[in-house]
Amino acid sequence: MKLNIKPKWEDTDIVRDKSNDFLKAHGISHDIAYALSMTACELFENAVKYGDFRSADETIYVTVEVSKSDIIIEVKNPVGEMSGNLQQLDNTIQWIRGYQNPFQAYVEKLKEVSEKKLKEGESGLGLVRIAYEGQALLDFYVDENNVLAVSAVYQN
Amino acid sequence: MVNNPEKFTSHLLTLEKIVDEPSITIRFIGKSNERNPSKFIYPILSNALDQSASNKKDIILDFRELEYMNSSTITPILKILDRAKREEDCQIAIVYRQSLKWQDLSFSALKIFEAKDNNIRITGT
Repeated sequence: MKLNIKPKWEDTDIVRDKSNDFLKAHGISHDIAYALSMTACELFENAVKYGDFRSADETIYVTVEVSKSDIIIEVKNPVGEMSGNLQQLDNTIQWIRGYQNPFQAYVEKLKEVSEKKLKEGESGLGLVRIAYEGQALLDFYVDENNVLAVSAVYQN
Repeated sequence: MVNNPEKFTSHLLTLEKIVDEPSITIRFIGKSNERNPSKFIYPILSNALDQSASNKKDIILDFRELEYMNSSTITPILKILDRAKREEDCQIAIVYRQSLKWQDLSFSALKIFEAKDNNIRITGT
């Protein structure tokens, strides 16, 4: 599945519904399709929040691929050259990988968020929720055109 | 006595508040996918907590009819649990649908907030 979509928050529903429909059409069970469409949605939300969209024609690419061995969800968006958000993304992914069980990372993040002040629109839970509920391995790269690609890989 | 439910709606999410003799129930209905769901959810939960303290009622947060929530929706729930943990005479119960895998994963993780004196309870039905 390939979606080329404008960075509008209202379109999170489209990303979730289309991912869910695609996964179910490929024989993926209800629970896994639900968890992975949540994953696509969380990655899309991050792209809308942290992407660097300088012109009206810049968009977010969402792809979902199903193979015998895995399901890959990838979300691409433009980023600024010296984005502090990239360092934060790297730190978060490394931090999650530091836990043998993503449940432990999730619980630690829940405790942390519960004690922090309410900050507008940011929970910091999205990526760790993908690791825990989506059971997916996260990775990312930035290409020569400053396009960030974040992937979540679920082992089939 | 059960009063008519009070309804609050923002986009695809409705919170229904039911005040009866022993408790104040907040039912989450629909989908929560707004950018900053705390802005809508937290004041309603906080107000219910104030009301429960002054009327000595328990609070029940019922998520069984919630179809989807983004990760930002978890924040106001955590903030309310954190507040409840620190307040005396405050009983708060979270009820979720255990047969839904995502609800089971999301809400069973909140059991870390269950206190020794049992003023916070997380229950899958």
